[in-house]
Amino acid sequence: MKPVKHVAIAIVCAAALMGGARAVETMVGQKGKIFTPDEISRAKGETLRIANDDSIPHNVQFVSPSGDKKNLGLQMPGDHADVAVDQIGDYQVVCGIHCQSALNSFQVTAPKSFQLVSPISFVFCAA
Amino acid sequence: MMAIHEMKKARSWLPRLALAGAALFSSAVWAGPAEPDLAAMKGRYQRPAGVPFPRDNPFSEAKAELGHKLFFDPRVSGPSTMSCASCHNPALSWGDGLPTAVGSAANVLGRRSPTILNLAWADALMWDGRAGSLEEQATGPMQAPGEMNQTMPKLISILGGIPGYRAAFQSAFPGEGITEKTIAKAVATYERTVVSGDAPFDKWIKGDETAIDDAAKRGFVAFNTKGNCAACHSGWRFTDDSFHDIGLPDADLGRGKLVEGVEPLRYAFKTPGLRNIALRAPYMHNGSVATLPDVVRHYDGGFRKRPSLSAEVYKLNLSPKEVEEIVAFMKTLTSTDATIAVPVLPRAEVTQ
Repeated sequence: MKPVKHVAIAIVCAAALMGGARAVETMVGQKGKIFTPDEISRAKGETLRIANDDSIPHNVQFVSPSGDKKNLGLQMPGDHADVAVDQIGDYQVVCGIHCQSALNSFQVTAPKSFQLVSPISFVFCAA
Repeated sequence: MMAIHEMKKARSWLPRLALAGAALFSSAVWAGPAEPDLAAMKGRYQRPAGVPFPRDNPFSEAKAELGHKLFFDPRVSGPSTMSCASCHNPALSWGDGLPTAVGSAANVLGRRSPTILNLAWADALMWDGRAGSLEEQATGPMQAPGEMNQTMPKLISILGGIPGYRAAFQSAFPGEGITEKTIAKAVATYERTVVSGDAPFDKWIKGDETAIDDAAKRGFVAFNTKGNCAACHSGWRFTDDSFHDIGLPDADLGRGKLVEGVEPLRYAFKTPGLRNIALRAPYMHNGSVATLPDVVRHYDGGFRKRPSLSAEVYKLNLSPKEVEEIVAFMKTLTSTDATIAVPVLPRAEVTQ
């Protein structure tokens, strides 16, 4: 039974690792009030995880290509915010507290062969 | 999740470390921190080479000249009694010298007139950041009932009745006419040209050791270390373009009124730049602090503690000498700028 138990544990661990790898596949940090990296391109259907790896609170807000605004609330140090990207085009991502902290370009492309070429986002920090 | 007060506790070693470091440069003679550290510190304050203009409103002389006229023209206000320059007066470092602004009906407003210096680089405008660009901001105060109390149709009609303005708009925006958009673009273009010049501090940054005295040099280091001022007053404009509750006893929620549910934005206002700051007393968004030493003492521990207080505001334990030296440093940010000419404004034709 012992080898079977080891295999089971290995399968569970592998599944957890794979699941974890998917969850943090697209990661942006905020250390020093700067999004790093500040240019990113993802495929539709993915999730962008923005981690607060800074020592102060942040407030991720974004505007989708269709103009919908969403405020993801307060992220304390160690927290993260997930942006589900379900539209093709340019997303504008900004910290509502630190307006110099913005993604210069966050481009979402089609998931398969079709690639949308978009200009760099114009980022703003108005409420 | 770590609460803000816990985070502050965790950061409490910072001032102590800075205090230990401060002892190294607290003697009467400027010794300064290690050369590489000071060089790195100074490197964060290099002025940019040029002024940025947006792609959808590039600079032109015609636009800047038109914007200059509009900026100084009292007819942009409802009763034709106040211009943009009434609150943003170049003779008062592009502010008004009052604790809080005064509207066209002589009504006292709740917030101070901010300077328009160096806004070409700003990310969000107004104390609460509600305008995303100078173009978006420019016509807001004109139409605010409590401020200039003008309506856009009336302003367009007034300007359209003045041949000099019709020609100026045609020159600046061929074929576009006089609209809210072209008015905003012209004023924004002019405002982007309002840039503070080289100050003694800039000469020191460039290598002239005689440009500022030793007390100011020590103040610069304290500003960047123990004083933690540079956490928010960062970069060559000395602002992070961000919003902080600095613990002033004031009921105004600031950005918290616009963005709900984000605790640090309650009572939060935009970090003002510090260029020419010695010329702009009184201070803070409500003009409640009279002098620069009082401002530093506020940050030293005079702030009100509340859940929204910025994590970057905490007790500093500055000595009176350190307060004095930080102020001495801030005074080196004053530039001698060219005199601003008040333009001759076009007038409507008068029939006999």
